Amino acid sequence: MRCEIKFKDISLYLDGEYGQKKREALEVHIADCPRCSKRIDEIKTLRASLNNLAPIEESSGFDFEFNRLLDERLQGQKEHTLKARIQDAASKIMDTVIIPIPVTVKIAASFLLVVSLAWSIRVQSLQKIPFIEFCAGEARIYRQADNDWIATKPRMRLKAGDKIKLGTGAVVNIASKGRYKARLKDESLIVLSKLDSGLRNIDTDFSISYGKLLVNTTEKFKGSSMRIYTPACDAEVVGTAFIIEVLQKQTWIGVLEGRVRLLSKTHPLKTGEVKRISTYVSAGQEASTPLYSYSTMPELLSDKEWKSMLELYQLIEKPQVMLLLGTGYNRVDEFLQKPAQVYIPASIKRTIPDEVLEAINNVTQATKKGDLELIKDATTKLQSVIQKHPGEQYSVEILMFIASHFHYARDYRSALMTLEEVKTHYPDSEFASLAQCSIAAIYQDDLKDFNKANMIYSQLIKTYPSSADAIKAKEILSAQN
Amino acid sequence: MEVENIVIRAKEGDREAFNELYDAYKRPILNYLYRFIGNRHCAEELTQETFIRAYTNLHRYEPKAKFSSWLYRIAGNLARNFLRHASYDKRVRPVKMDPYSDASGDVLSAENIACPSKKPDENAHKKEIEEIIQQAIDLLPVHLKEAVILCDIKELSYEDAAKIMKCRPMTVGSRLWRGRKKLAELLDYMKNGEKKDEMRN
Repeated sequence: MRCEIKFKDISLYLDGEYGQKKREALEVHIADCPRCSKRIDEIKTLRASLNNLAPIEESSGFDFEFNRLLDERLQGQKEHTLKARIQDAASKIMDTVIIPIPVTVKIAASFLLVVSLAWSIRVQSLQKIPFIEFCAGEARIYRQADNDWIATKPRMRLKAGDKIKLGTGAVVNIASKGRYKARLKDESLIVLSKLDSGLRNIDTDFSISYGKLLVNTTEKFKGSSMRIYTPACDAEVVGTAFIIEVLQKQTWIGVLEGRVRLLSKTHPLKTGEVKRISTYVSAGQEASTPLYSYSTMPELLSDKEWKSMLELYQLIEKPQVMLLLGTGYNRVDEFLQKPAQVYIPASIKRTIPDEVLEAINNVTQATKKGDLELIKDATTKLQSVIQKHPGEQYSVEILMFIASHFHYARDYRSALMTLEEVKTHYPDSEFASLAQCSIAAIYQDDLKDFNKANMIYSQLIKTYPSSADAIKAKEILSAQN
Repeated sequence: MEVENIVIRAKEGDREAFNELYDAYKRPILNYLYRFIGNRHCAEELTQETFIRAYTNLHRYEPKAKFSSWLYRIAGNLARNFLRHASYDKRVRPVKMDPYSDASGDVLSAENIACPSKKPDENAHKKEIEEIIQQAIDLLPVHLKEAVILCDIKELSYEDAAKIMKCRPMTVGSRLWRGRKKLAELLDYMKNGEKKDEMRN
């Protein structure tokens, strides 16, 4: 007879799960069946071996770690409950204070909120809309709504389509709050052809038929745009201070800061597709565009032009002495060619010691006379004065000014020392790379120590790799090879 | 019911009382988890987690069930969760899965599993055998493993195990015999496999 008892039955039997009747029947069978007895042994052995497995103990530090973890978790929970408590309080306020308010009051309140929000946005964007800040002389504005030329008045807000016409000697200042200021001068005719005011930006397009426009933008101008259409070319502003002068046959532009992009125009009667040529005029450069022709290559501003550019600083003044110098990679040539000039805004004149101002003035006077010894003396005097009264707003600029004048007076040793001072004391200033480049240039051109010059050039490339002067240094080094 | 009194004190926020419970149950829980997972380090981490959960959820515990059953259930849930994600965690199975490739070379027979202490050199030997048994347990499916650990290692009754496993007592019985059968087969497999190896040599 084959044994029909399964593993399951034996297992349950051993665990005492079967009733008396079934158990007895099984016991009878097992007594005769070697297979089942073997299986019982097997399960018993297994159970014994499992039961005999040695218990493990926790490793050292277990309790400590547990208590640390528990404390950490409880701390986290406490923070969590604090959050929940705040939420509870908020909902309580909601329930007891806000919900019982009558619906009409609630609607009125939310309406008020929306209106005031809209109003503040409107005020924000209105503030950016350009207005006439100041006007003098014969200046008239033409508005389509009025259909007449009327005299400009201060605080007049401009609209797209407005035309402004100026007589000889007249001046109109246009300001967009926080974005830019523009000045219209002398005999000019300008049309505000486009005016888009966004939440943060303002896009302004001017069309100038003739006349002179000065524009100085602030740091907030980023994101805004300005285009100036003239008969000869279009100018696009890239964060900048510049002057644009529109004459009958050409447009002249001088840039003090930033960059302006010029787009040439073709003769209106010329047919076929003609490429518009764009020219970038960088800081310290000027370019003119004849009518129906391409712009001239941008050139460095002349002394006289520099002086005229200073008017831009009257529009937006920075609380700092300005070294009148471009930012292009040729600025080292510019810097060493002629004695540099500084512009001192009226607003900070009070904060600069009189002694310093006087010393600067003396140097300028000496330069005008052209007596090298006199320049050297005046510059040495200024150097000692500036050492006595250093100031954040002017120290670097005036040191550069001094270096430039020493160089002009052929006192190379003093020039080098001053430049070294700039390099070591103001390594983060915008002039540090220029100072180093100038040192190298002086070694190269004036002292004829080419090895030293090359060494300093390569040092410059390493220390200020992204500066404009590094480009110049690379150019010089590659020209030698 | 001394334990229940301590639990009540612990429920009221008495950390000392909870520490008493912790001291009493940490080793049973640690061993339970160790058999369940087969890795000492992970078992210790999960034991700590078990007691942290017990402490933070003490208000949910109802004295209907035994406190130990409640703890075992928390530990079991953690272990199951852990094993579900274990394939991502190589710490869990430091030993090789294939019993054939086990290089311990020890003959596993019924008597030295049952009475390891009879043999000389027994400590090392016992350890090796325990390792083999643990390997076999590791290879069991989770629900069978739970039944085997609770009933055969922890020696709980079907009823107690059923409370922990949240199933009927008869289900425990059925899982238990299937687990035992599988375990016996696995151990047999290892034994015969090694014999075959010997013959080959």
